Amino acid sequence: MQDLLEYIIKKAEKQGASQAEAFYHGADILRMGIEKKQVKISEKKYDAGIGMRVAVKKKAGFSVGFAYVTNLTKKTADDTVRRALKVASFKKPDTDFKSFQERKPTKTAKQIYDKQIVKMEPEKIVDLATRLIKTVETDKRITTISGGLGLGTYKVAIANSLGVSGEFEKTGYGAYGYVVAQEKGSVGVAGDGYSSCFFNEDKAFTTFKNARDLALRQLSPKTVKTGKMDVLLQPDALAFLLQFTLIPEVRADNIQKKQSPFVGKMGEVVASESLTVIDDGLIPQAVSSKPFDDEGCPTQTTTIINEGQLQNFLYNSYAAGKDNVPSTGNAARMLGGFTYKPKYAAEPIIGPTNFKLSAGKKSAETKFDNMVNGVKNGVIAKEVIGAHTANLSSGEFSVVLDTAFKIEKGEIVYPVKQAMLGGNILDALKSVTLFADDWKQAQIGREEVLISPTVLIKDVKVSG
Amino acid sequence: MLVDLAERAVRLAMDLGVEYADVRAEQVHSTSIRLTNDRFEQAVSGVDQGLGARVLCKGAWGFSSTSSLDIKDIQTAVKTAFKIAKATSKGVKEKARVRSVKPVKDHVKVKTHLLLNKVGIDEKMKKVLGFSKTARNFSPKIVSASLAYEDAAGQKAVASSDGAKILTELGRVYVSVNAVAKQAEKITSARERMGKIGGFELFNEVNGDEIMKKAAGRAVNLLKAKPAPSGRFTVIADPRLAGVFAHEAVGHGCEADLVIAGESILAGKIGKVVGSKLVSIFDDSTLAGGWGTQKYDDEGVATKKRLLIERGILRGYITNKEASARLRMEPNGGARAESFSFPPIVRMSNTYIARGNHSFEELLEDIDYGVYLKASRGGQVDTAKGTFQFNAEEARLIEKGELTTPLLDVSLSGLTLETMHNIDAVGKDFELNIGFCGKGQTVPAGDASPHIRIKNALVGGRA
Repeated sequence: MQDLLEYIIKKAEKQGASQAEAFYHGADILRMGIEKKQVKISEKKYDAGIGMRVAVKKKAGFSVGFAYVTNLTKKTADDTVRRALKVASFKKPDTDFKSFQERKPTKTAKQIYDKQIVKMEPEKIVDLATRLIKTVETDKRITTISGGLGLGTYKVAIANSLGVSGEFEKTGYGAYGYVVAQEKGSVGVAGDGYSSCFFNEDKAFTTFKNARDLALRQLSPKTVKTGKMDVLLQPDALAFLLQFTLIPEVRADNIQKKQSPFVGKMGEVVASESLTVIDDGLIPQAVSSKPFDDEGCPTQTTTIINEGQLQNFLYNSYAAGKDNVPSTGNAARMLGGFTYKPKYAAEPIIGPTNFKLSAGKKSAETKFDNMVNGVKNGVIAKEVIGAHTANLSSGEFSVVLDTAFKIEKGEIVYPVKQAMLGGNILDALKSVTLFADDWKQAQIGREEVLISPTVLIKDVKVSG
Repeated sequence: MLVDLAERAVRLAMDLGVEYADVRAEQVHSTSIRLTNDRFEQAVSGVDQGLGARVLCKGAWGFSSTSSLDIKDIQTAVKTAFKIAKATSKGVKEKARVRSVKPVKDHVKVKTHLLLNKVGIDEKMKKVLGFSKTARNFSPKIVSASLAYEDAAGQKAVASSDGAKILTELGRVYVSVNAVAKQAEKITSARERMGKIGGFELFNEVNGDEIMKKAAGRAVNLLKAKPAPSGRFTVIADPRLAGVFAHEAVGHGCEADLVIAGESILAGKIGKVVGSKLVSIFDDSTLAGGWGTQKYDDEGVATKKRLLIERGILRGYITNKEASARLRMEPNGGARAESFSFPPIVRMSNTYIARGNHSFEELLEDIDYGVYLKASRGGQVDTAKGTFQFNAEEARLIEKGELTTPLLDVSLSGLTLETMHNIDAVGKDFELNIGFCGKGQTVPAGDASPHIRIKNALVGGRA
């Protein structure tokens, strides 16, 4: 693969590019879908391509052009170079562009490749799905079990004019269970998911059983009385909320665009001192671990908030060049649109890797049961609905607490119907006081995760 | 020829002994541009091509896609689909069947006089840059403008073993803007979009600069808005928000695959009262000028205008070939796939609430204290539980029948059926909106509605 990438780079340099970069991404995915208590469909997709960038020097600065190709031959490679150079010729020079990613030593990302996944036969997945359904369909009140199992093998390679050259392979595994229970006109719904780089049957069973138990426990919900109370957000709820608030708001590009409530707050206390937030691309078995990012920058551990204090933003090479700091290894290729583009068909922007919340100090850690037992009046929510409507610039959000239960005097007392949590992410972060021990990797994008336990947000307004 | 390749793949599948097969083959030129504060973050164009084959074997589905149109790779994809369908059939309890339709052979042309793939990416970039300047120059309070441009032009072939052989020419173009305004510590934003099925002539037909100014103006106006009250109020939803309600809360519940899967609150309710007599809802794939309009669906079935709710009574679902067989209903062409690399599933097209007979003033005049909710930042729905949550982009307090204080960050949530019953007036205006719908796959979907009034709605604000 490197030979091909080098060929493209040389070709681009010969045709007038000061710098060139070529990125290969291949994905081989098997997905099995469950619907209405039975396996339903299996899907197998294979897709690979190369995206290339050129930086062309003009009087006032560089212009960067991009193009991609799926069926790669020498002839199509030549055409791709030509198209990228053409886009660069249209663009005004960008004085903020310094350079593509410089070569730096990478660390090994441990345990991101599971041979079992590569060799898995579809029959085995169908068999696992069948056993999962059998295990959770035991209760008569359960009317629907759906969800699925997914396996992926990915290959990534990159090279550029500055000597960056690398490739790696990784695997992915996901199990998702969704259960509907019905009793006397009441409907209980719950879903649960598991993601890792490694295949794991047991976790699939835990996931489906969780969904079943939660769906049953959701039957006959009651409304809560509007008022201030403690809110316990579980990892999936946090993942969905932060995906549309904190995570994009600490991206350096959004700071530079002034689309974040964290603008001008570097070094300030922006959260409770109980909270530490890091982005770590090297955690073993974590879904988003990899040796380098989508520009070939080594991944690393970046402390974003340390004991409440804002210390870092997430950078790719462009945003880093603009601020004159090194990249944090958070270049990410993702682009939605009429269809979600494959990674090779997108220019790198900024995204998290494994985004991790933890206690800023030991005294803020507790066992899950102790956390619940300590709450006089509160709600615990596994999920939130509607976080994608948050206002990125101001940090305001309003979500419905879902798969939620009322807590009174330290006990979970009843399932909650339609409770809303609104506020500003800055206020919410300042009210974080306690972390439980039920750690989970909760999916926040195609390949990013939030790693967190249940977090207690003290004394916030919940509308019933 | 794409359509011949698709037909050949169907034959290959049938030769392997499957019960049913459908195939989509595509060749699409697409352009994506993202511009923020006059910097191009993405300027990407390319050709996406490939083929996806879906087969039904022993009552189980298998699907496989390839981004190559070489006959060898197509053969591999078909064999893979067959192999994994056979493996899947071992776990199938209730075998899937399909309801066949009359075979259709057609060539659907796109109506355009400015083909998108004949316009250079430079011209598209220039257009977007111009729009950005208009939005940013609107007021010194506008601190940022982000623009997205998307287009796609090409061909899609659909062939099926019950005889469909359809070539559809594609053309679709879309621009959205998000304008951000700032004053002191306050930051607000507003969004507008434009788009059509067709070509680059969109920009001769709509005044894009006016649309930019509209977004910027709304963001600036929101700076004056105050936090909204929370609680249960009478609300008026504008056509944009009401359209989102029709799509999210009702439309999804009418998707026959969700109905069969036991994931819809509207399952088993055909012929039953599910809402106020004032409410009729349609999903219409044939709507002229609709963003989700298409003549044939991705199983090769001719589409229709589907009556979902007639004066509060549930009348129908959106179906595909499989759901039609299971529910013993007529297929109505509701199967759509994001692209060749996805199997078709039941989707909406253009979902709308039919016009009523009240003027906006009449909707307002009876309200002593309430909230007028306008536009939408998006929404989410749980079709099984029948709950929804939407955030309005802007709002006004209603006091004694008059619009008063501007409000921001207001959400509307509730139970779908309860809300359907609480609609006590429907306006006589009507507005067509464009949007995208996600259900594991993203497809363009339109919605529309008049203004509607809802009693006792749960409003979430910050005050």
